[in-house]
Amino acid sequence: MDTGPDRKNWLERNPKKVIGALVLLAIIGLAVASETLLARKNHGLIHPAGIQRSIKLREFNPLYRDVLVPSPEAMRVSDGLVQKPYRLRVDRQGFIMPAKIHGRPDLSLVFLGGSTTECVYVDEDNRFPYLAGRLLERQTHLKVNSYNAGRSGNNTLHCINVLVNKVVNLKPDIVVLMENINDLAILMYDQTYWNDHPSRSPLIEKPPAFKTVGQDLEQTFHLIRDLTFPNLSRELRQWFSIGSRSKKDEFHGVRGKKITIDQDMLVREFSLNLQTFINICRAREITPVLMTQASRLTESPGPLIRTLMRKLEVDQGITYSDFKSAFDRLNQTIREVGAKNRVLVIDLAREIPPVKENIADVAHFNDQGSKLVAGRIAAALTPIIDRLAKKPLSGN
Amino acid sequence: MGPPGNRLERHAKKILLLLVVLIIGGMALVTEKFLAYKARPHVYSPGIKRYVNLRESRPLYADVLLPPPNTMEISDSLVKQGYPFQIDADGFIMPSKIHPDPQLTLAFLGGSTTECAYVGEENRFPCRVGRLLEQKTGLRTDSYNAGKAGNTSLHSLDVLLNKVIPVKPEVAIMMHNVNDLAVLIFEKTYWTKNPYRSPLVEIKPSFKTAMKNIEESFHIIRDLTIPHLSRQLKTFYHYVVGNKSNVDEFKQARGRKIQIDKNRLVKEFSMNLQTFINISRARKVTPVLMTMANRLKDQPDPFILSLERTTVETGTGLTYKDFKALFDLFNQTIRDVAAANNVLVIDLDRKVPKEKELMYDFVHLNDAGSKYVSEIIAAELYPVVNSLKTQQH
Repeated sequence: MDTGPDRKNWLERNPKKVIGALVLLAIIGLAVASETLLARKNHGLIHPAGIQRSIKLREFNPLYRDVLVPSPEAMRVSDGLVQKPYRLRVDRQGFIMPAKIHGRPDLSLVFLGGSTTECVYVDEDNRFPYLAGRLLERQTHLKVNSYNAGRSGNNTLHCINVLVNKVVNLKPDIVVLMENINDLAILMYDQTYWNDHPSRSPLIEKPPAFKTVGQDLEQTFHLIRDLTFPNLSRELRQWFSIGSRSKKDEFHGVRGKKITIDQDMLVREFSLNLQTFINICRAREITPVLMTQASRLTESPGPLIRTLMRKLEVDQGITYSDFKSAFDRLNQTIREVGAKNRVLVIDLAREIPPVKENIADVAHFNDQGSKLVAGRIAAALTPIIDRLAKKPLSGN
Repeated sequence: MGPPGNRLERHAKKILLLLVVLIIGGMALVTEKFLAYKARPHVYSPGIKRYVNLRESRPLYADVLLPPPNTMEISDSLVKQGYPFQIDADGFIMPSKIHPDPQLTLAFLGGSTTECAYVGEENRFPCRVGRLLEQKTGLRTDSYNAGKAGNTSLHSLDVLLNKVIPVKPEVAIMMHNVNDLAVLIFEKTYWTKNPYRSPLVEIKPSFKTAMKNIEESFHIIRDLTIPHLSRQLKTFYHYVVGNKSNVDEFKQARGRKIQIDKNRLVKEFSMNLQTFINISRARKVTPVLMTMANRLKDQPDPFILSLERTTVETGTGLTYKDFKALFDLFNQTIRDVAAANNVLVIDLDRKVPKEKELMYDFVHLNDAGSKYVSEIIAAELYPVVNSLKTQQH
């Protein structure tokens, strides 16, 4: 063993590492000194980064494919839902399939809305946006494309962004909007559509922060994971979600706080967005149609509905009757804005029996309900379609 | 000392670790294949994430902009000096929100001709109009500049819906022409896939995207730790290598014969103008349109003629006469849509002399031009503001 006076110390044994470390320290020191000097020279007037922002396009990812089975939590909050696999496919334009069936259609319809339009837990061929198109085709003998642009959680502002940035370019003849409960939720909790809510805000912000770097790296990890092991990662995610209680509560920040519903504010804000939707359609030579939202919020709600709404009362102090009143008020707003603008209103709130055979929980249609709705829509739209200006066959 | 061990013995831990990683990787791969087989005929795919481009200057960005050499080359009255450029927390060019409780709020939408990057802060017309109206009316006035270089009317609609409406302006003023003309000539549609002008941004699941994310993370770390130094290095690099900041956004369309369908151009542009008017009215905002001032005379001065040849005709085959005709057509479209909707149109095209003293290239106002234009806009808005004041009372 070499223990004599000729034994080299660590520095002598690792000269390259030492020099490397010294050079690195020198560079860092130089960078810090330059940065400080330049910051002083600029008197703090220069902030070259800023916050990067973009607008959320709330849709299913184009080319998304999956088979969704209602989770135990979803089954727990419904009594008219069948627990089985429901196929979900999304086309390249971000519409739930089946969508573009005809290359040169005579008529194009688009449906905008939230989860009650999306109809995830309804068989593909029974989802009312699609089925309404098929029924209209039979009735009118026209080639009809019918697009489902529903997305869970969307409110009217999200729908307007989808309309301007995705739907208008399709040059549809008719666009149908159905919203209520998502607008009610966001306006109750945040008082404005232009909020900072992490999932419902219209904007995405990426401030220059280490947290953003962490999020980007996480996204990168997800990308690589989805590229290399998409099925395995999906399976693992499903195992974890069974283990964890439920899907994330988007409004957990306001739970426990007493909320007072300001119906005048709700109606004002909601009307402005409905009017904006109508006006955009008219500017683009599209026929706008509104639909009230069907629900099981009746004067004498069943046990499931009472139980679901009880949570709102306990958490937020919102009684069933307050909530129902606000919900009904928004449906009435839809009727009034429709009437004022001479826009067709398909009154699903009045036409769809509020029973579990049609609606699986508070507002989501099951297969039977979706088929019933499709029939109502087709019947209501047929007279409008007859009045539309004939389009040349080159169409879209 | 005994004989040295073999490689396996010397690096036993590393080899063990490698084996464990290989086994885990192998198991993951086998499981992945099995799950994919089990899911047949259904295929799981996460799809392509997308978002809408909010074209604005970044909130809280602040810098002093020096016109780069290639900008100076295509201008003849731009002063090469530093122009402070500061953005507030809501993404508007400052000065913007001056009063916590304004009595009048204006918002200006448009492209670089509204942004006025190379104009002194206080002389940019969106700001100056606010100050002039405040003096004339005695109303506490906030005036927001939401211009961004390259914006078309579709980008402005997105800005209007998502950024301007929440500030609850009484009046929204929009000026567009040349950017819409460019996009519609080259791309035929506002909903283009051109990465610089598309309203939508796609994040495709690919390794290229993963690399871009890592690059972005590096940029963020750099901007967090050494923002001034990195800015200085970029400036130095551009000085030495030459400024390539002017990327040709329509590169793929250059060199191809451009087919121009004037009716289609007018229809597309009109629809966006109509959409702006309709959105504003739905939100109880008074819409105002402006034609775009320019130096496109019937007898152009040599600088403008030469500029058109090098920047427009070379890439598109459009002669000066063709280009001017299209530009004028768009200004006329603005007048027509405004008239059809009983909307005020501030006709800068007709009211601003087409001279280099006011504009440093085809369309961009210099300080003198911006001040000149402010007077016109303030004068034209004054009756509108007065009638709003009366209505409020």
